[in-house]
Amino acid sequence: MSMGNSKLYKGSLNTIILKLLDERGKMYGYEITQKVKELTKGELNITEGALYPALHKLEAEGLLDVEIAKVDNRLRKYYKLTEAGEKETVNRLQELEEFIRSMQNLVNPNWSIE
Amino acid sequence: MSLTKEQIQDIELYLEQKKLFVLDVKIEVLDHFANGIEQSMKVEKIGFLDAFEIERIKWENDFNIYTSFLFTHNELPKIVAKKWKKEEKKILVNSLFFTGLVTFLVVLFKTSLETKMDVSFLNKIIGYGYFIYLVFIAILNFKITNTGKSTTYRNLFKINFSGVFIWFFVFNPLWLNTFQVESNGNVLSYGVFMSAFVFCFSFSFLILYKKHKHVIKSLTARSL
Repeated sequence: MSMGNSKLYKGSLNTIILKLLDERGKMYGYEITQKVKELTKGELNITEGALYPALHKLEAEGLLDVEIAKVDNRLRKYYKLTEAGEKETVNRLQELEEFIRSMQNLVNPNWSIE
Repeated sequence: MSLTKEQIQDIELYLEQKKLFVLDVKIEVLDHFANGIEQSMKVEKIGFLDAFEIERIKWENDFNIYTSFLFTHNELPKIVAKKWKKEEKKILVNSLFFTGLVTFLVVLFKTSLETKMDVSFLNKIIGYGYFIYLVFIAILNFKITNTGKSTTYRNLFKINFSGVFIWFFVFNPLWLNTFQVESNGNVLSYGVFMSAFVFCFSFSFLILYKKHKHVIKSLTARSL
């Protein structure tokens, strides 16, 4: 991730990936980087060096499955959630929401994410 | 704007120069690289070579060669080494968990085992078990080598195979006392732990073989 507040996002990268895959079914690496860029209006730029190790880690943990398709003269590797991945996404999103609420209470109790 | 077959081949050649051979990582890096080039050509209205240079700089750090004690005989780009380490860590954690479980159960029933039955046959069972396992893994090794394709899983299989092969021969309780599971009618906990670990660790060969076959099958069905 290349930006000033990258450290704040770093711990949430896996959850971001799981959430995107949960919403969109299957995605490939480049598509994930572009989608994140688009959703955060360019605020968060996931680098290749951060994305693929995260994807490989989730795959090794059995949370992601892989599908290969031929597109434009080359092969494309799609990632999708496994059953365990779907359950884990729910857990991690809950954890993230609780974390955001706690931070909100600490930093600015009058502000709300609802 | 899609890249031509020749341009894709140029990227592939570059990746191989950077020692990126394992197929499961290479195909996704190649696709990402090509997507980046296509995007730059479209948005910034530049030619292939200029767009290639932008991508090359972006990936430079991930292609740095990584060396470690475990992978000493392999020159690996960082992106591949990171994946290997994650897979290896998972294998070790799972192996240690089941080893702990087996050892715990044996220790729990150790006294009753020793009093109710003759345990002197244990070293022979383990010793011959090593050989049966070795034959099984050697067959898998032969099959995985025969695919002729390089994947993360095949390379990990090869690295782990050398270690387990040596272990099965050198530390076999049939002729070496160091890791015997029984001595003078007593079950030896550390011997049980070591043997349980080797057996549990060896299960990973089947998993690595299956994962390798899965990658090859997906690639063959959609080969370029």
